Amino acid sequence: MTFAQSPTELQPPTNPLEVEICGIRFKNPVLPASGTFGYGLEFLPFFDISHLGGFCTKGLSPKPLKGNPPPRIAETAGGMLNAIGLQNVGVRNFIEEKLPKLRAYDTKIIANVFGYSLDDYLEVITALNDAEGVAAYELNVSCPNVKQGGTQFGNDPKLAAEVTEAAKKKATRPVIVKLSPNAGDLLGVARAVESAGADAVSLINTIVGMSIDIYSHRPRLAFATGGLSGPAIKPIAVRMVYEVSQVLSIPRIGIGGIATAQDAIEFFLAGATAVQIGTANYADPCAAAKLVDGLEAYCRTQKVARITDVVGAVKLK
Amino acid sequence: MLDLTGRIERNQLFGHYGRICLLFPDRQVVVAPGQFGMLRPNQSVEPLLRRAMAVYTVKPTPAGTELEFIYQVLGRGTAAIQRLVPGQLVDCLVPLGKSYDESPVLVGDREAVLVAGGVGAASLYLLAESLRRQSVSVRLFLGGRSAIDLIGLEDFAALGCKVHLATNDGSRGVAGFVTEPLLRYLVDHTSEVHAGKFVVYTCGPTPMMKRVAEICEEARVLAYASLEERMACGFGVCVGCVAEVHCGPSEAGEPETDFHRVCIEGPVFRCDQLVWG
Repeated sequence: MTFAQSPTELQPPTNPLEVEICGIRFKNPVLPASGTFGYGLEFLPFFDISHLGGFCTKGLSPKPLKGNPPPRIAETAGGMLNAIGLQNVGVRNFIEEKLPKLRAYDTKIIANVFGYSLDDYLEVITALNDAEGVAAYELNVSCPNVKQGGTQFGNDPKLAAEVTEAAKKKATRPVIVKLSPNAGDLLGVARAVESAGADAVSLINTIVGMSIDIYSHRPRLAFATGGLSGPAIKPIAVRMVYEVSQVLSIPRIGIGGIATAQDAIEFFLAGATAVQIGTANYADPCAAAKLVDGLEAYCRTQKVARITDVVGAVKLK
Repeated sequence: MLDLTGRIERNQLFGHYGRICLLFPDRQVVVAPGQFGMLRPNQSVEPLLRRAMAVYTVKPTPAGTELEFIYQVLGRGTAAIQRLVPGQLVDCLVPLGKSYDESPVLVGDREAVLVAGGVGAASLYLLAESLRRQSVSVRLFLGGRSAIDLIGLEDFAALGCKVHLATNDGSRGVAGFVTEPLLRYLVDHTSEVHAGKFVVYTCGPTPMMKRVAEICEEARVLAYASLEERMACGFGVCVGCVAEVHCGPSEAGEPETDFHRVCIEGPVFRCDQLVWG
């Protein structure tokens, strides 16, 4: 132990939470997840969204989508099922109505892109390419809640690679591919999208689940099945981020049951460079802002100079 | 909308219902009739989500604002709230949603006809209070399975509402559904119905509100319903709590519907906007 400080330690402190993913600098690695943060504006009554590194928009399709009939959500132990069916305003409304208001905030906007066909994805990306203020695209190839939906792309390495490659050709911004835990061959899909040019991956999307009302004998969701999210899925998500991190060199963004800084740090240790916070935003609209504060406190108390120092730092022995 | 923590003043259980009073110290909380809150025990993580409850009463006090909620103990979330005792804290997003539109009943010599079933009565009390304060005649058709389910009966009566009761088991008021005395009342006052005297406001089980909507459509009485749907957030982002509404003909002239969020575009809708299924 020495009391003398080296010259580097005397330098003004850099922001310990800053991370860089596919060439984009995020002031912190906290990005609310697509579908749980609306278009960002809905959270302004609660906190200044400039506090966040960025956020992912609700999945955007070429045309507005009506979504599934209710009931669309059901709470389960430690989590919830949803089958919203990607109800959204459509990419043009997003660009015309939401984006101009969002430009006032110092946060990176990741547009989540959804389609039923390859052409749909490319149409959304083409529209967004011309819009100012979007940092990156996240390809939703893994939503479990739409019939003949994007999930078919995410479950098959070859299809996932095709949509990634086509999106990369069209996109003027980095492309993040959101991976599905429902794919039989997760690592195969991960490798395939990396080879196809993905700039990063985010994982995991929700896990397909089901809940049945014991009195009516009917599924608790009108869609019958839905995507499970919340604390219940966190250990599965940490494991999948860890496994994918062993085989990919592009950055990983961890998602799944994250509510607190402690949760997020597990994902960093498993190999994620950033995290997305989803279901927790519902129970506590300030959860994402608190997560940023919690990470700052962790770096301070644990003497972590940069949050990236703990990325992939899990010790197996 | 405020993200508040309230202190429990009272939390009384009666039958399957709880009546909880929260004090928000040094806070002025303004709630319009029909608005709701999203509640959970302070910082609780399980059950995961808050529970939506209509604000029953609002009382400014020297210490802050007191809000009362009436809830039915149905599952883990409401059971967790029911177990709380005075002095404990509750996280509360409030006020949420759109309120009842009072304007149609404030013109001329009109009468507000409230149709409440079970815990749905809680959503209508602030409306009755507001209308009575403006000297509007308020008539309440209050129904429940049994006498214990006639929520807020004494409170409505104390406001000077004219009250008609119905219970499924006949233990209080007429036996049967509350929509039957409503129908009889409208039939017995056909000329007033034609003159546009009545505006109906309803909150309760969906089959009851559907029947109210049918009766009012047939009688051409303006009617509003406050819906209940499972909610994750309460402020518009989860898009879980939707109701199907008519949205005019498509370009091809076909009738079209859309899903509107109960928490933002509702919970109060005009009955003729809703697809009742």
